[in-house]
Amino acid sequence: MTSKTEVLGDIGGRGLHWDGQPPVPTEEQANSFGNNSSGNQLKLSIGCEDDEESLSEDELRERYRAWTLSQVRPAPPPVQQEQAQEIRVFQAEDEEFLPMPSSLPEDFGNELSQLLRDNRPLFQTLHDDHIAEEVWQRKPPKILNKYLFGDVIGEGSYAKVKEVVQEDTLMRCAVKIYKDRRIKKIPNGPENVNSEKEIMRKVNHPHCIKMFEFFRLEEKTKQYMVLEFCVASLQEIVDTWEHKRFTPDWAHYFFRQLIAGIEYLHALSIVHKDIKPANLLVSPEGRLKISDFGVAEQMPLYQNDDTCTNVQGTPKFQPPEIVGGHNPTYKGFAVDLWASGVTLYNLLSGEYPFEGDVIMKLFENICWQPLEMPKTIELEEESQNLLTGLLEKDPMERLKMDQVKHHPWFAKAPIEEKFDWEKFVAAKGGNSSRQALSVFPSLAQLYNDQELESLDGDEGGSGDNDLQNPLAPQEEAPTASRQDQQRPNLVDSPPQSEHSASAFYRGYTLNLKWLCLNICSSLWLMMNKSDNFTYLLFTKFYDCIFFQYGLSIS
Amino acid sequence: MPLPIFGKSHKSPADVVKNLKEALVQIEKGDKKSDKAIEEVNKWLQTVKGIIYGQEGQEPNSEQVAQLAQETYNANVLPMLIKNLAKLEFESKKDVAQIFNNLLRRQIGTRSPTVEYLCARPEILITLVKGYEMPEIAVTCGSMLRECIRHDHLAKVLLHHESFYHFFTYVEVSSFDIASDAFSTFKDLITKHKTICAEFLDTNYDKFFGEYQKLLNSENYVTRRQSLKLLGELLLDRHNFNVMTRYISNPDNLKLMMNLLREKSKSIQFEAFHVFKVFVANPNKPRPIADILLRNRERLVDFLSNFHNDRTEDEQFNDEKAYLIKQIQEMRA
Repeated sequence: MTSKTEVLGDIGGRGLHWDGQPPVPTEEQANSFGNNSSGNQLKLSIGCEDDEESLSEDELRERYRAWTLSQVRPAPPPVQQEQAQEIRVFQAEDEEFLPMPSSLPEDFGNELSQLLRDNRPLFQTLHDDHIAEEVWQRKPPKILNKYLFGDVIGEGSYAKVKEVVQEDTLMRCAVKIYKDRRIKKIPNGPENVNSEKEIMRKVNHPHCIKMFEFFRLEEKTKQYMVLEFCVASLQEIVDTWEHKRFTPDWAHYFFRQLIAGIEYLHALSIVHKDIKPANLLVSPEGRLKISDFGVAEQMPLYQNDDTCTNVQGTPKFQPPEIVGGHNPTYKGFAVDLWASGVTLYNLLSGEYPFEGDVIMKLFENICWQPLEMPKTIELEEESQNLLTGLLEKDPMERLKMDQVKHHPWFAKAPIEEKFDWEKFVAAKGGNSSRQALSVFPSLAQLYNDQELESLDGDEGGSGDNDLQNPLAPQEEAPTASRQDQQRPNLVDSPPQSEHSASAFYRGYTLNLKWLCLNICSSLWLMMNKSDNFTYLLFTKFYDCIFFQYGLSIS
Repeated sequence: MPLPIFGKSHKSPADVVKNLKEALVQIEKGDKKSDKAIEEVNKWLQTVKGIIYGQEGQEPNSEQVAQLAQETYNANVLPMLIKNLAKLEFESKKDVAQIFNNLLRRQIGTRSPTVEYLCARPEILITLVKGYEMPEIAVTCGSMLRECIRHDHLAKVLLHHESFYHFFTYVEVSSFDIASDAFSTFKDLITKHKTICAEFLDTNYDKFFGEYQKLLNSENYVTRRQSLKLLGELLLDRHNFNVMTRYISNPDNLKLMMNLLREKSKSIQFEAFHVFKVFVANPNKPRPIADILLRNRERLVDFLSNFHNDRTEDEQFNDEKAYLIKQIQEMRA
């Protein structure tokens, strides 16, 4: 037990310790979930541990709706306790709608005005489900290929990125969604997506983003690339720091990881070609991950050098040999090192080594303007020296990977602190969207409702409940996608004749799953953490319970 | 001055190291007092750990740690600890590894004092390698070795010492955990520092691959499989370009891979495929290689067409397989 607690505390990295009991239910508690009164069931349905002994169904609805709404409402500052509280008890009376950020969905205004219509008090118990159902119908939980979809967390010229949770493993991932129509409009679009996929399949390194799966859904005419989940890009993070720059220690910390990642890629004969802070993501553990291999090039295995011809990337980060346009070919590895130099320059100072109002001016400066050290900050001599070496205009004279790794500034001991997300989240106005699980509202819909239904079933309610999901999107139901839209089920549906028992059974198993999700997410919020490991740990835990009790029921 | 509550902590680092050393000298003498000394060592190691990692709930005092490190170097305690490792208690062995690894990670600016210390005394590293011959300390020595290998200077020392070739026997010892520990150390040695490793493999190509071939032909399934996988990684690493071209020009290597493709074990077949493909996809196949492939053209195409057809999920594998089949079919004599 102690060792487990230690491990968890360690992941948290913030010295969170539970004394003694980890928040895992005892056997007895777990047992009581299935075969007990609705009081217990409801207890499960809310994010964290509840103090109240029992809750009425109305109260449940209220919380439920609060959950859905709380996702679009700007969240309060991310003090952990408060976040946890937000899930636990939604204090309807105290809540006000703050001015909406521009990123809200378009239809939010409509929803809001409907909510406010008739001067209906906002969060009072509603005796008909009218409004709640409307919200549900508009955004039914989306499950594709075993991934439950959450919010959009990023968008690029090629694809949209959404947060997802894998249904079986409960692993939190990001999925990059390529729309066929959009890709076709981009010159070289389909080829680039393809080469990105090929490269991602090979890459497996702690400082490169990992692809778990790539699939295509014909009926959607979209392709999906499932990736490791990351919290933010280095660009987003550095923008929240004072003067938009890191302290030298943190710049050093990230730069070392960047170089480790680039070295790995180069060993695999991959030239990234688009190294820049916006393409460097940071995982929940504070680890840098090189991402976006859209323009990366895999050089042939039997080619002895790193000569490339294809020019793509971001002008501000390109070296003279590319922007000068005089050379038909160039050395790929040197290009990535130049770009990492520009990145380091930017991280250390918040400035760029070369700028220009128009692109031709920028190119001219990159080629001819002598390198000047940042004006707004005096850099350490050693880091200046490294920058000079990396931003050497002649690619042959530029520092090589090995020289970078032996550079005194690079070789010094890295900072020992753990990367702390709090500052970032605070700077983002406390918007916790990147911290809390954005699939949560969907989960709430899926599992909460299931419990109610299965209770109905138990009381000898209508037989349809078990077969038809009233919340499932009925408007578009081609056979293929219907399968996709079904709720995640842990067990194959038992025969209809045993309907009542099966409803109970299903409700029961789902309860357990739901319970674990609750533990995961509350843990998560407590630790202000969102790493896959915690997730996996609890999946394991959940498997244990399921195995034990799932079998004993039948 | 308030007295510390716990007796241990008032000893200065110099005293602790001195006491530790005295106890170690006792053990080396090996007389009847040595039992007592072993306990002493155990005690002092705990104190050292307390200084390095901090007492309960307290951060370590960096000044004390620096002093302790300095004393350790001055008194040459590290080589004694490692030399007598097998005689120490179980817990003490683990403590030694922990202390050693911690000291190795210490950095002052760009300097790593322990690395410098070890560079000047390579015999310590060699003693660690020899540790694989003693089952009771093999894994402990392994963890210390891998910590050393993280530093390129030390990795270089280890690579270029003749004891490096002992690893080829260590990875095949009968005890599974020792063998696999040795293999991961071996792997770190030849992959961690790309330029150093590439240079080493290039200059010692014949000797190294002469030995390596034995691993690929080993009786031991695990050795065969692990070494095959590592071979694939080595050849596909760009730093080893020269090694790769040399390896794929040798018809004996091709024959070996073709035999491994027909192994009973599916996993070995699969790993062999990933080396075999490097021979076939080469646009400039040397004559002897091309001859072998040509001679077996029909059979290879047949074989590959039915090779691991159940791997429908693995797109990359299927693409590569199709590519190889096409390459072989299109070969002209």
